[in-house]
Amino acid sequence: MFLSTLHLQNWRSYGDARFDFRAPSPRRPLVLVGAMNGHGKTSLLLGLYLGLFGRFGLRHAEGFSAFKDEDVSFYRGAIQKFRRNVAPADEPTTVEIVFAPATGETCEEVRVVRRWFFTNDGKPRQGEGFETVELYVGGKPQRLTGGLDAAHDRLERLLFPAHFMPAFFFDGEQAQTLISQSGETGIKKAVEVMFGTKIVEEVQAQIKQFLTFAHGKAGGKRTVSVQQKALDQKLDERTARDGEIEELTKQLVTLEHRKQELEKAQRLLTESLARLGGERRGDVEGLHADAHRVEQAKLAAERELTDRARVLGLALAISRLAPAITNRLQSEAAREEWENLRQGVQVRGEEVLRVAMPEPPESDELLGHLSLPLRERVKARFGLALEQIYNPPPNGCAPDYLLGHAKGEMREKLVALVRDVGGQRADDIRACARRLKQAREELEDIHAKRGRIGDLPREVGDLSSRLSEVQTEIADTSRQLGAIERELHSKKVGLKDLSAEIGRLQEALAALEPEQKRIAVAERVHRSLEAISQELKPITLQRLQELVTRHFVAIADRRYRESEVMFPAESPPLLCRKDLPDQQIAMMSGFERRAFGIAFTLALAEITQRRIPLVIDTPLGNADNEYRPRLLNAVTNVELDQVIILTHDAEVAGSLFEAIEDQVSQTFLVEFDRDRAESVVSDGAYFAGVGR
Amino acid sequence: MRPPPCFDDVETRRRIQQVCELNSIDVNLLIDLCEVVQGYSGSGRKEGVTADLTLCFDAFLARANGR
Repeated sequence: MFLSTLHLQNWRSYGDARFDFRAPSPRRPLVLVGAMNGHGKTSLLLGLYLGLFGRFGLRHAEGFSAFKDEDVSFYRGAIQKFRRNVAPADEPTTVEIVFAPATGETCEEVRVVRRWFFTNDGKPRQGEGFETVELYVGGKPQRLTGGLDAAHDRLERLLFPAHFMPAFFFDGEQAQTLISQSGETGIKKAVEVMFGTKIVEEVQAQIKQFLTFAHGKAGGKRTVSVQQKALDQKLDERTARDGEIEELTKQLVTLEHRKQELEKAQRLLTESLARLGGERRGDVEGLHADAHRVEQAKLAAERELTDRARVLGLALAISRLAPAITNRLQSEAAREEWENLRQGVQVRGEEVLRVAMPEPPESDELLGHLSLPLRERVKARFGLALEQIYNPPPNGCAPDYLLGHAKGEMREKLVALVRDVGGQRADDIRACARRLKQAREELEDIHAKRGRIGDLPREVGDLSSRLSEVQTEIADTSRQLGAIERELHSKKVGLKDLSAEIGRLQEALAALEPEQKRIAVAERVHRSLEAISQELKPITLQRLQELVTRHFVAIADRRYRESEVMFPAESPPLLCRKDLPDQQIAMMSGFERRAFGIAFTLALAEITQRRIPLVIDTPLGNADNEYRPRLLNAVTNVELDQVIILTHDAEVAGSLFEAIEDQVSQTFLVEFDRDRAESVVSDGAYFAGVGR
Repeated sequence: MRPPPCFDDVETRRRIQQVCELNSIDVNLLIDLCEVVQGYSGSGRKEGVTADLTLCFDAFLARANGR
């Protein structure tokens, strides 16, 4: 349902103004009514309150919360104040409101025209002539036998209870009133009305009257057949039996869940134990092998580093002399080689001379004829010539031996060592040190792992103990399950017998006279309604709490995310937070109260499934920039046919307007015309510079 | 006239159904009765309500016999 028309005549600042709202589409449910302060926003809201429910709407107006519905003279005075002060005396003050079915709705249009009449001197008319109301449903005028009260009841049925109005026609500034009323008195109960549980009670009362009437007609309750009494008794038994079965089924489900959880725990514990016994044994063996390998690597690295450190001192000492020492050793090697060659010549000289000058001289055909002295002189010359073969020593020979203690192979090793020392690089030493460090760290890790594995027996003991406990619990749970299953089976067998008996009794009753049959049905209906009424009340309250909580936490500050809204019996609503004391919503900040009001409104719309338009006066108020988009988002993203926002130029404007612009189906601008002394409504207009 | 929302809600409808089955009536009977009572509510006239309730019971009995 959507608000299709609001026609205000001589109402506060309005002379004769119409708001004709177009049928909203699901994509564009928003209507913005812009007006500066004092130009007619609150008058519009008051028009809805009083136009719909007359004096029952007054106490929702700002400043009238203490008003009692029965105080008619006060009501007349209030309406006199709401009448436009320059209204022509012969014209009444009129509010006309039309609700039309939204797309897809099957309900009929509801039109209310409420008029208040005044005397020529501007005083409220006396008696019943002061106020009239006309009600049209589907265009047809409704006969209202009880006058204003009858209209009130019909409107409550067709639309919503009067004290619901602050929820659907919501003034952000009046959130406090809504909170008080939601907890202490009616709105909670009104939810029951809209949810239908109240009508269930009314039907119950009506059936009771029917039964009294029918019993009287049939000659008194005593004449109700014996079968009916027996049936009632059996039905009661069956109700009790059903309750028992339901309770046992619940216990059964709980125990089955418990058993499943225990079995899962058992499986996990068994797996843990298996891992400890199998995989960890492999781990231990691996660790031993690793330890041995790393120990060897560490020792090798240490040895290498020690060697390198030892030669490091020598390297540092001779690094500059190394080439000279190498040259010296090589020249001494050359000298040694020369001396060996020369010595060889000396050793072989005699043999050479014997070949050159054979003995005795007679055998020497060439020089045998020489005299002995001459022959000795020739021999000496040959000997001298032989000595000259390796004289003087070749270049590169040392003149003497400075390092004469090093000879032969030892000298070659020494040359290689000196070369090696001279070429030793710092990078090699660092690499070696790194290898050592790495090996030591690996070894430490292995020791730590060994330490942990040392705790294995204790861990196994703990797991085994827990497993044993779980197995005991599983056995207990299984025993309980078995007992409950047996009991449940027995109860179900009993229920079957009982149902068969009830069936027989019902068949017997079916043979009774028609009036008695109706009585029998009415009795059953009465009993059913009693049970339904009892069952649905707590569900309704719970549903309301859940929905208000959901909307509230979406709007309110982040610190309330984990909170829950509760409606305790006969006290104002509370906000319950984990590990914190409960907080009365009425004592919270202005914005949180506003957030609650809007959350309540959205929850009502959802729970009652009523397609009632939501009219919100200045929803954002003085909310800060963090709250504003959240709140506007909550209001604009609800499944309502129509959301009418009354706002001023500093509220739904700028980026906030842009955020919702796509959802806006219609705008109005209300401006007070000083010359005409009335508020003028412009359809399609909005504040200058905002929007399209 | 539309039945009260508690007859549309899944959970409450299930509960209502259970209670009706226990008492050998059907949910439609309750919906019909609600409609009758709602129709008379606020109208200021109560005459005829008993006759309308009787019609509901008779309709139910006819349905029950037809089953």
